Amino acid sequence: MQTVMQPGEVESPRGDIPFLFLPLRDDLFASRARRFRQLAENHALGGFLRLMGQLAESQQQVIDAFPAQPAPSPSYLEECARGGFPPLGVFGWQRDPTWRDGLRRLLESMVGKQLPKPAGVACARLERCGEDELERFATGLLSQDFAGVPPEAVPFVAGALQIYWTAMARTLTGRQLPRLEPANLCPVCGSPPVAAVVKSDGGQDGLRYLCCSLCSSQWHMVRAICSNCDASKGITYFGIDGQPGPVSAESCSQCHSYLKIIKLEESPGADPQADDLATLAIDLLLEREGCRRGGANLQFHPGSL
Amino acid sequence: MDITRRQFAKICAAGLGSSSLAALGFSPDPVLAEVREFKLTGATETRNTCPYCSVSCGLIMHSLGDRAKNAEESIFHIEGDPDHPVNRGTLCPKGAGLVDFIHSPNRLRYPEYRAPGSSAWKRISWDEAFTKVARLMKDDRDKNFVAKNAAGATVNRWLTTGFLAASASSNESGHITHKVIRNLGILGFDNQARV
Repeated sequence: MQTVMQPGEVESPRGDIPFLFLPLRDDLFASRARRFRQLAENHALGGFLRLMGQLAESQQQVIDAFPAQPAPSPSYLEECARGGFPPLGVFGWQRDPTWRDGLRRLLESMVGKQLPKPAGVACARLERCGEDELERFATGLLSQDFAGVPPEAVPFVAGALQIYWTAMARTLTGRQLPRLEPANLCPVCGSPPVAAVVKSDGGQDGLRYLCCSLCSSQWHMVRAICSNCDASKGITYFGIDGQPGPVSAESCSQCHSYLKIIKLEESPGADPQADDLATLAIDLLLEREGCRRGGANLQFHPGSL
Repeated sequence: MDITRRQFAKICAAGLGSSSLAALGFSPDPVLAEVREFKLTGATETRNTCPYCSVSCGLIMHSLGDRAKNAEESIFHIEGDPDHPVNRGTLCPKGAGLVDFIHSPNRLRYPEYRAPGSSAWKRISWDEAFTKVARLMKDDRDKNFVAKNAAGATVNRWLTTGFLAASASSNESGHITHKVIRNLGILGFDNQARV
């Protein structure tokens, strides 16, 4: 928030750059739902974005009522910090079965809504899945291996995992977590980013943060370098001619990867998850140029070739 | 250099037919049709240092065009580098106006000479400029060089000429400036533009 300086007052120095923002906003999924609805207007994929908005709405309802999770023990956290591991790593942290209760409540909430028929069928089918199958889906998604997970199930299973990991990340409030190596993985859960944002408020104006595809934590990375290989030369920002918007693709001519970057100054309500799915056209165009995606959207099965 | 640690699923036209989008009952055709019409535009962000003063604020310069493809570049925006420890994204009014300084029609683009007593500037070549400067320096140094002080100690001073270098110089150009100018015996030189 802008404050008016009084005569004689000297602006205090901005101090250190905060490294990590945990997903503490109470309305995280609700604001994502708002953004999906907004983006769906006059969009070529409006129906899909509206459905994803409904899902984000349900995620908000489920996380609001999610049972409090115990925080990892201090000794475990210290061990992780010493070893350079993310404390809630998708492979290192044993996920609690509560995530499946979250999925069940998520599906219940979705079924109560007016859904396109295939989405309703997908939810009903997931409700009948056994524990082992769901765990197998979860392991596949968390290791970026979409092959064994039905495409129609991906948004919902990933949605439930996001709820659980976001709730877990919130237990780390006040903890200092070190930067991981590689630095483009989430310091909380080790997942790849879905996109980056350039902030436009607080003391972080203009700083770039990568946004976790799983737990929605955000961690700082210096602007205008490749988030994948650290190159600072040959970075190009691609957008679509005649289609202004806050999203461009930061692409690297050294490793030929790209990650979308969202300027919040141009669109304060933008959400990495929503704006990523609303700009699939950028992915399609860059794929044609021979660039590959440097991040992941857990809620989207890109199809098999 | 390719140090990618993981390969992520790629999003492409051929895959969309079996993606979550299609599996949930939405046709990818509208977006595929759009993409056939769309064209990519490229822009770059380049780090630099403000040339105005010794504070040496970090800058990010935005230009249109994809340098890799040799497209014509044009700087359209300059902001303070938010990651730079000196200025953390802020700029003074002079620095904030840098983009106009770059595109100013009044920029000095070539050496000019105004003769003593004249009021008009005349365009000269770089060769002429260097020759003139070297001649004036040599004449002044020959006339005013102080090899020994009153006590007879060797001092090798040239006090009648001073030298100003730029503020955005690197350590290396600062080092070279020092070596060249000190070798001539000049004591009054500065490597920035606070004046």
